[in-house]
Amino acid sequence: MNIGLIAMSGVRVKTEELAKLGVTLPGFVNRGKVIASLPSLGLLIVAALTPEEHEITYIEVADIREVKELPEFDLVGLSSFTAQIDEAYELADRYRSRGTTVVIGGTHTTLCPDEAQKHADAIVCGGAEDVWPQLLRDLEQGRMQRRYRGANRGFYTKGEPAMPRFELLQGRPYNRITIQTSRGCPLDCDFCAASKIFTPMFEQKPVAAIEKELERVTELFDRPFIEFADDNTFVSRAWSRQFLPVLTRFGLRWFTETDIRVADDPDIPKMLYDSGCYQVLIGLESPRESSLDGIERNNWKAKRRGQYLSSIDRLQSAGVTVNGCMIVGLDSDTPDIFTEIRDFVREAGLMEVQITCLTPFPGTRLYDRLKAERRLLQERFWDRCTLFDVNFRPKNMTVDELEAGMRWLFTELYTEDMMRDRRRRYVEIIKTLEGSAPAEES
Amino acid sequence: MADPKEARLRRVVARVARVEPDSFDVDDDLRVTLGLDSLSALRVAAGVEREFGVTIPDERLHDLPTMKAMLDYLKETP
Repeated sequence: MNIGLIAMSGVRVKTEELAKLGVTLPGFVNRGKVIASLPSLGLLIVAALTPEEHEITYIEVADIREVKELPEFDLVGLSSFTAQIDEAYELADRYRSRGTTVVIGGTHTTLCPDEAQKHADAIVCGGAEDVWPQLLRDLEQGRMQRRYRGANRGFYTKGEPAMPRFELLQGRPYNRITIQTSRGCPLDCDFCAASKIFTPMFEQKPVAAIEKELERVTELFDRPFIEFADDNTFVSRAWSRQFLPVLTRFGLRWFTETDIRVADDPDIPKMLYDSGCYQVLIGLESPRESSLDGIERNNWKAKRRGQYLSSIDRLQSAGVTVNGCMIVGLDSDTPDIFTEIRDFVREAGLMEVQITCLTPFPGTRLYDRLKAERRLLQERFWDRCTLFDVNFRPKNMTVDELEAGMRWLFTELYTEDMMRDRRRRYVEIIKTLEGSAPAEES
Repeated sequence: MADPKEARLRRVVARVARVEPDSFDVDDDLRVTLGLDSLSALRVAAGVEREFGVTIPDERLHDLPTMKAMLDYLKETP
């Protein structure tokens, strides 16, 4: 079979005032742009699970958005997050109208299977491992089922994990190549629509398997920048101490998302820097303890609030910049939360900050709660799940106050002066670090 | 014989980019040739400041994309 795997990308802010701000203050949408331009690791794994007799073509939706005639395939596989799902459905409908078999998977499909089912010949909920080869066999034998439920645990315990087909990305202008070192997260935040929905467990890939992927990526790409496509990479100190020296050997530059405990081990920040870590994104969520209260099932983040400043300082002093992710619109947020966040960012000296709006992704506990409390602004708002658009009534301010507060915060945090201050601070840190490093050979 | 200042600068860039010092030209846009992103550019700037004892004005930290631009800056800096 000739199989087309189509990655959906290109999230756009819907609120007009925010979209305009994105033009004048590019700093605030940088991370969004990076995410939108990452390759779909899920589809590369699907490609790896596909038996060799089938031909695979990997396409970014941006490549076919404007074409009159869609490329022809026997089977089209689509993977999409919530914000792009309507475009995915439209594409699926176009393919199906001309007789092409369409399979849809990914996070939104896993969260809203009944909806996705209406636009696909079959859907895959959860990970494609275990079910994709079976689906292909079923299709060839004319008995494909409407729904396949993939693996949701044991990703790394059933033999060697599939090597993603990174070679499908060659010749394309990706800024970053993604590698996964874990699935799931030990935390259980009520707003999370990430890999937690694929597995209730936190599973870390064996270091030897990651090493093979790094070898493959460095064979294929010249000086790749690696983004670890994890929700929380450095949970285990023992695993981190095993993994980071291996990573150091590759001489790469890389980024990941993790939680604040990464700074607990006094040796880890330096190991991160030595291994080429440029930045860790940490979901700090809020400087206000009452706003953190209750967002995580065990209240882990609220308990950790007291260590935020010292942990950020420990990482950044080691040359690892922290991108502190903040959420506005939490239930204890009042209109003065915006100045509180600005002051915290300044006090912490955060090298980068990402301000996002609390977003009730369908299928999450947050969505169910806000729906029960009749606080959702619309019944269906998937294309507004951009992390910047407001989709619910906040508890202690109006929607207008939340939107205006976000715009104010963006202008406060992403001015050229603030950016310049951050750049100077980073230069001074690196000078100090490199000044204490062993002398170079001349 | 290579300019000693250029040789020192090459070592600074090479160390940040993790490449050999002779693997790029003075006119190369280092963001393209070596894939240096904004943080890498700041690391190069830090290396230049430390190696040559200068302080690059903050507004120029992101404005030295080639070896030539950096050498010109060093020439005009007392």
